[in-house]
Amino acid sequence: MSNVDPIRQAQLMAARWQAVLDTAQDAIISITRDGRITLFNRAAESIFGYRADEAIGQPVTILMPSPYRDEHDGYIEHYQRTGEARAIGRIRDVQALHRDGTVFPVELSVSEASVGDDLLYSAVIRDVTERRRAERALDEARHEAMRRSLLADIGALTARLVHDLGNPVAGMSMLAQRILRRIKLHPTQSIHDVREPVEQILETVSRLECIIHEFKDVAREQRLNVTTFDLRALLRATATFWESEASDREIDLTLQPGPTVQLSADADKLRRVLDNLLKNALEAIDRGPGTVLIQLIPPGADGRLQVTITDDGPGIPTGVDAFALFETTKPNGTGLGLPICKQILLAHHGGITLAPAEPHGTVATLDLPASEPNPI
Amino acid sequence: MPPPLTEQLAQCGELTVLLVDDEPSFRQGLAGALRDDGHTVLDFVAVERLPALASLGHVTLVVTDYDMPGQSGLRLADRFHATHPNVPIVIVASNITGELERAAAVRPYVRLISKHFDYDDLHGLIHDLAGPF
Repeated sequence: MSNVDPIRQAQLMAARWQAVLDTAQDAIISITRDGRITLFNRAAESIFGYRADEAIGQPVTILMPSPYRDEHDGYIEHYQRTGEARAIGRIRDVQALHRDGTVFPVELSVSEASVGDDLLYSAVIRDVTERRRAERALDEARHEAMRRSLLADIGALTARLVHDLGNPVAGMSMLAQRILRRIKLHPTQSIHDVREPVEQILETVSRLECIIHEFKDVAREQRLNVTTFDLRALLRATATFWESEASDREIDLTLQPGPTVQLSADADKLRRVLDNLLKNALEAIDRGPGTVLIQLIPPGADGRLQVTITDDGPGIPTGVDAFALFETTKPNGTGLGLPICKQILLAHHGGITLAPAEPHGTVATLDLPASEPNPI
Repeated sequence: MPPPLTEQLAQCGELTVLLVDDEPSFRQGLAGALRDDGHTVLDFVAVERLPALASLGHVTLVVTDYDMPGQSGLRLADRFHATHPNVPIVIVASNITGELERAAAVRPYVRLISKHFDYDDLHGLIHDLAGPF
């Protein structure tokens, strides 16, 4: 190498750099200490609309729109005085100015080099017009999708409200009409004759209150009131509560409680989940013979415990997402019970799944961390 | 002004009404009112709970909810009409959409009625629906 002609070497290096400059996709521009352009590659010509021979010698501010143009000299002066860089050594998103007056977004990366006593600033400038346009289009598409989804949710909610609240109201109207007609047709009959429809109205009011309560629960944030309690005792109390209904339906309700497990969780909310799942299991079988089995699987090596509730009913029909809001297979279901259960389990950093049981039926599995959940 | 429903239905003679609605209060109210008038009502909570439609040859009027879990009232109307073409069918809906109105318009055996109806209005529909279709 030492035999190579240094002039030839310099020429080779210059040729290599020229090739790099000419083929670069980004604009590469150098300026002097006082902001005059000394280098303007082909990509710069294409991006800014100036030929190199037009740009070289011009102040670099011809490539900048306001306010960058007005502030540029101040930046340079500030940097040279304090050494405090705002653009050097980092990539900045700024606006650039085309010869035709178009302002467009660029990514700007500036480096500094000293040649003897002189300073040279070089910039690599990437035109990101297309990327920004694509990002904007993507943002707009996302926003539109969110808007549509929100509208769809509002639409579904409204339709469900109309159905779930409107139907009982229509029913009460029909019951009231029946009472009036009875009074009109048989004015001398005992008032006890209208007892049945009056009771039906009161039952309907009570059901409406439950529906409204459930809607409120869905909307409410799931704040946990965490205490430490015996999960086995909770399961036992829940099973005892549902025993009479199971018996009325001729369904065998069995609890396999396992060992004592101290759990830190919101006992009231977990009770609500268990009540919901047991009610679902009994309603799925409807009339016995049938069995519902509650099992507690104590925490394993992963520190998580499980509670399963298995019924031998007909199972959940294919294609039904039981956790979807308003999804229900029950004639008077609101489709809110299981979404609320899921919310409660998620608030405990747990989960809930429904799977087919063998040979038929459904197994609901609650999965919970044995340690105290952090409130979310 | 037509005479009230009670009289008109009395003129029609005893009806056997198939009533399908998942809303218990509506079903109880309408079934009770019809029974008070001396009609026979077979009421069901869902289409899936009905016996074989062929076994319902004695039914003279169908009143069904539109929006129910499982099969819709419109689908029931089509199936029932295929088996019993002369029986009028009233579909009650809490939300009558344009789509539902168009679906009813091409089915001469079907009349739509808002769920919030006066009992006396039912007769007008039955009268309109007098077959054959």
